[in-house]
Amino acid sequence: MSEAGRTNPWMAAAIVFLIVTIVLGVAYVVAPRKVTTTSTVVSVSTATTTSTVERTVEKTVPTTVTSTLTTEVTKEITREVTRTETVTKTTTETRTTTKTTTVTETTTTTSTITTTVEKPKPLTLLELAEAIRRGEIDVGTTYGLALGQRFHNIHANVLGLACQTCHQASKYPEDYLYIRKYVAEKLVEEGKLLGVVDRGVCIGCHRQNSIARPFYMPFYGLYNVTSGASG
Amino acid sequence: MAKFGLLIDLTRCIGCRTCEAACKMENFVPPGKYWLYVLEWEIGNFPEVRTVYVPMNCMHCENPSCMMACPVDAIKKNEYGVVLVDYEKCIGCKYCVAACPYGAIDIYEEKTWYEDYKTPYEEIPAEKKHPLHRYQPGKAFKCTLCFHRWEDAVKRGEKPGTTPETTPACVLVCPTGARLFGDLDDPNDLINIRIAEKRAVQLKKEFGTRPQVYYVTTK
Repeated sequence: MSEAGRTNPWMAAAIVFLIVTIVLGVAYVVAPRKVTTTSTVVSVSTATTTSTVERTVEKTVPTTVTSTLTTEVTKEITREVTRTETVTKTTTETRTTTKTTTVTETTTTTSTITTTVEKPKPLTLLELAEAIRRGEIDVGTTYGLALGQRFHNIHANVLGLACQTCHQASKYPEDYLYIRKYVAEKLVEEGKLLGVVDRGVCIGCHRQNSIARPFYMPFYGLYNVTSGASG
Repeated sequence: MAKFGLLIDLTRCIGCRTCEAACKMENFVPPGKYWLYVLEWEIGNFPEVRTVYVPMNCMHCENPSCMMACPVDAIKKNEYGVVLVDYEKCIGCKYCVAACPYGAIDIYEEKTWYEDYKTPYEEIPAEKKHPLHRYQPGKAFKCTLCFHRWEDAVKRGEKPGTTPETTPACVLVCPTGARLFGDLDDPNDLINIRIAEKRAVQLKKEFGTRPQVYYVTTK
């Protein structure tokens, strides 16, 4: 066997070492990490309380005894039986508190990439109108023009039309041309009685082949009038 | 099928409002409500100025927007081209009021001419009135083209508008003959001849409602 055909043991060992290192490294990165921390806190508290109380103990000699004795003797006897006691009381209290807290943290890295191609389809006004008629969108059950009834619920709440869209004022602010539209004054003041809507506003949407339910037909060609419930 | 309509000659109208009064009396229209009203404005420059009067009432459109807007099908167009409200079906939602581009529909309210007194005219009971005059409070009511006046005649095969009894009240009382009533489907009817001669127009044609009331306008 030739020299070139032999495997260099050092090279083989280096390759093995490299492979093991890579495997361990990958395992370290991929494997969920778990960290456990235990901390113990021991607290000892000792308190010593010393209290001294002085008291006088007086013993009275019975009169049956003193009556028979002289005054001097009685005074002596009294001095003898009266003495002062001192009581010392010592209290020692030791408290030991042990608190153990264990915190375990597990970290697992998982990344999921999901590609969704479907986008929500925008709802057309026609579909919106159909949804209202089917009752899927709640616009109230009372047919009427007043606020809170179907007419305003549909136009103001569902479609989000501002008051000024329909209730156009007859007069613009005097400096209207000098100010931007978005800072223009509100042409319809809140709380005031709104004016009648010009039907020219309605015709924009409510004509045949337009976006809303047709009330008005084009004034050319032939028409087929059909009646039906409106939204 | 007949299709009755009106021709209003604005060059003849003097704004006397007799038609308004006659309409109110004929149809028991309460105070403050109008089936027919006369608009007026000035035109021209000094010294050549004058006033234009435009009587407005229901146009009895071929494509009535009020009928299209009604959620309960209370408004119908009959076989004579008259748009009528069914007071029993109406729910008073005012959708028709909102949809009509001519402002011809109103909501009935019970009102008397005097606060504490009802005229004998107002005391006529509903049962004695024509069904078209049995209004209900809070519900829509509008011009009927005085259908109650010529209903029987047209059903008998007579031609309405040829006698005073079968002519709408507003047409009958006009002192200048500014109003003309006739069958728009009859090419020989005087109304069609006048419309062609004077090149009468419909109002607000852009709404596509195809009104059956034509106007001879001033320049």
